[in-house]
Amino acid sequence: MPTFRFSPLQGARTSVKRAVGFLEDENDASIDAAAGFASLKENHERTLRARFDHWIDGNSYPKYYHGWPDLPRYKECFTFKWDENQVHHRLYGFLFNPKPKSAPAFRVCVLAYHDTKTDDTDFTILDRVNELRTSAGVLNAIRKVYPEERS
Amino acid sequence: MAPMSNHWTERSIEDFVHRIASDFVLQLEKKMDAERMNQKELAAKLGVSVGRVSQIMNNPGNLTLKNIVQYARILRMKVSIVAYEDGDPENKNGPINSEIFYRCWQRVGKPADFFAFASNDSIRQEIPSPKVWTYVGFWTDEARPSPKYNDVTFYSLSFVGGEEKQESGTSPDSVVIPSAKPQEVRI
Repeated sequence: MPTFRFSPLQGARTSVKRAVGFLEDENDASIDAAAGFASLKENHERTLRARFDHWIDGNSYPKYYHGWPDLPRYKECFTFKWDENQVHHRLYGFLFNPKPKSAPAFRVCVLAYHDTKTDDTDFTILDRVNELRTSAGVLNAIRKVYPEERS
Repeated sequence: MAPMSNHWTERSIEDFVHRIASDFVLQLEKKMDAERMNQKELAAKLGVSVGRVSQIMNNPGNLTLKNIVQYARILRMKVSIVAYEDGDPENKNGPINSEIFYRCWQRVGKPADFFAFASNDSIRQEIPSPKVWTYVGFWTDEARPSPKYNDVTFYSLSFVGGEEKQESGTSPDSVVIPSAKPQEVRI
């Protein structure tokens, strides 16, 4: 049985618009974005953190991170990118607003999978992201961290 | 993941350097995209290997100030170093992205010196000039046509440089006297 846990990225800047965090399931090691991030060498970790900051700040640069807004099936999916020893690395996840009533503009990027990329995007990983995105257990784990604020 | 109460750039000087160098590299990459220049062409212009450029782009923490200027000048850009206070002395939120400063400078008309900065109309509109009224004057019922204090008109006698001067204008909140009788006010 899945036991999802969501952890906001530690050391990130706070924003009322955007946040980044990691999804984990202690019974499913394939949900490995957090483990992949934790195992990064110092400089790659810094590079990725800087890219998280850029996105949280509202900057836009598809070479560093992007979604698929033109593909309805994957329009909530999102990826952060970096290169390591000429290998293209990706963290895949999805954008979600856990508190649509009290903060309608807020989006958290929920990172789930770490993968390396060769040619075109492997959409099977985005399908797996979509499965998580529609799982009540996943959404509840995120909402626990970002509850609706009562007015 | 270990909890961090401050922004990650507070862990070490190297972290902070890496972050602001990353902001610079992002500016370079955007400029290269606009100029349709790839890393190979940039390397050729700099007289370094493509591997070196790629290394800098992926790991900007090793950039020196001299490298930064070299890379910027090749792309016909200039570099300024900006120190600022943002009300976050403990660095809980990390540095302000350098592109924010760049866009602000563009927005106020790209002033090239302090004279241009001071004479810029858009700056004047955004930063209200400190109009200090120093006067001794009288409030009258006639001079107070509106019950809203911010809209109150006043007449005043002011003594500026020893000369008496009569003025009228809109009252600042601090000089409103809630009385129907003429009042002497002093600020």
